[in-house]
Amino acid sequence: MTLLTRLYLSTILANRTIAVLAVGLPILAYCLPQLVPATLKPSLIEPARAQAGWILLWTVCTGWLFLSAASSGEEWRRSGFLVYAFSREAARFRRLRLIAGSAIGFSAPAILFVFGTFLTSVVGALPGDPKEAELWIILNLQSGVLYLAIVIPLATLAFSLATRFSSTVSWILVSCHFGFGFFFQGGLAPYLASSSLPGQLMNLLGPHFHLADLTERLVFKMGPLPFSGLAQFLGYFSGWGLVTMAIAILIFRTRQ
Amino acid sequence: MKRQDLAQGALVVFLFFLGWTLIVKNVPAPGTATNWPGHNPFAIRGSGYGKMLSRFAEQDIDRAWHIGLEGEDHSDSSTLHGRFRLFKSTRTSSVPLSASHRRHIRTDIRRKLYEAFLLDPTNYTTYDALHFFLTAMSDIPGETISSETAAAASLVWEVAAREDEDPEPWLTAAVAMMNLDLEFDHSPVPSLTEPELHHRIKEALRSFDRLREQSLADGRWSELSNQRRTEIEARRDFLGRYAERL
Repeated sequence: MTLLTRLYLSTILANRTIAVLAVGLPILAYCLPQLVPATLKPSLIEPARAQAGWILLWTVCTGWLFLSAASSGEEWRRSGFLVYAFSREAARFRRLRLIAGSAIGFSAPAILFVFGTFLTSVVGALPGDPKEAELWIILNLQSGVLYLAIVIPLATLAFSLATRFSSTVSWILVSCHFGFGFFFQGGLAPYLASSSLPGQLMNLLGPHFHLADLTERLVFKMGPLPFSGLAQFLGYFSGWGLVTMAIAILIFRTRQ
Repeated sequence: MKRQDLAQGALVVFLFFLGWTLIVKNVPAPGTATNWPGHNPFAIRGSGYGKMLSRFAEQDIDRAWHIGLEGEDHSDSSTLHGRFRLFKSTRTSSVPLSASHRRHIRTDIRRKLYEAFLLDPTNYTTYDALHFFLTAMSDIPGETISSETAAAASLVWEVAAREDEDPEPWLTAAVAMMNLDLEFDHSPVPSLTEPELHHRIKEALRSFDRLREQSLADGRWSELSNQRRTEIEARRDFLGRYAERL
């Protein structure tokens, strides 16, 4: 573990927001399905539990992760800690190593969140049929992998942007980028399908993060993604991850 | 510039282009027109949360209608809550809404109705309100059943006819088919004949009765509030009387 990884992990442990999340998320995950009008249709409850877990993961946990990454970036740069960390590293690929170290730090809470969601989904809504239960678990794992592939590079970008601008600016930029890809890009399909140049450019430049939202497959019990589809999604998202990391390394600044 | 910086720069450029190649290679081809539920983040449409949000939207649309178009709130003034609502919604401006503003409110209500309908096409209230809005409130005089209303009705049938647990969607399915049937003489639906419509109405009511028996037997029915039960019974009576005349 590098210095930045250790510092990030001890920061979030000392930070009280993690306690708020640890208490609040389970309460929300329990309460949201209670709102579903299921008196006449009790079978709505189980998918609603899984759905609540994934909705909280993609919105609350992601928002928190970007925010904590951004605020660490700003704080460490202001306090001069980044200069110190920079001077400690061996000369070769210093920026890259600092960025990678912080990315490992961000992936720890992200993995923890995914694990919590996985538990919510499997404990709360595992289908009774053993064959279906197996498919359910695979689908949830696939969702988790796609989540990590998208969110960790973006958190690193939030961190890196915050070392150059303020944490607020960084959080807003990264959240907008993520939210656009997740909520709007999918709705643009009719426009993107046109053969016009702006439509095609938008299809290429806009991140299709909505592809990673497998809630529909969960709620309607459609089974896991076929292997070729998963491979293509992972290829696409790791492409975005690499581009994002390259930009993060370029933007990263250590000086006070 | 130092050698390390150059190496690092080259690595960043390499990462960027590797990533870009992966994106270009794997970018999904944009889909063409999709059927319901369409673009559906978190699968809200068609799920339990869709049902919930669709019910919340009922009230919102109701208020937009009464306050925006009719200019008055029908809240009950005998309760404290009702009085507060009336305070909030009483018009104190003597200037009436302009024609273009009213037009804007109508378009807005129409959009809200469509969204609420798509969240849960089996919701009786939102479907009926949407149908009423598209026909009786139509901007084009003389037009009754348009392709839009027919599409809404067939979506109701498509979604509700999968139902094998909750009796309520079958009533929505029956009323949707009734709406098509009522206007069949003026504007027939190309894909359906009149006997088929009649058959569907009766089938929907039979399924409703069967599922209600089931829910009575396992106690789900008695968990509903009295108000909801009478509301559903009244709808069943109304549709039953219509079906008897077919």
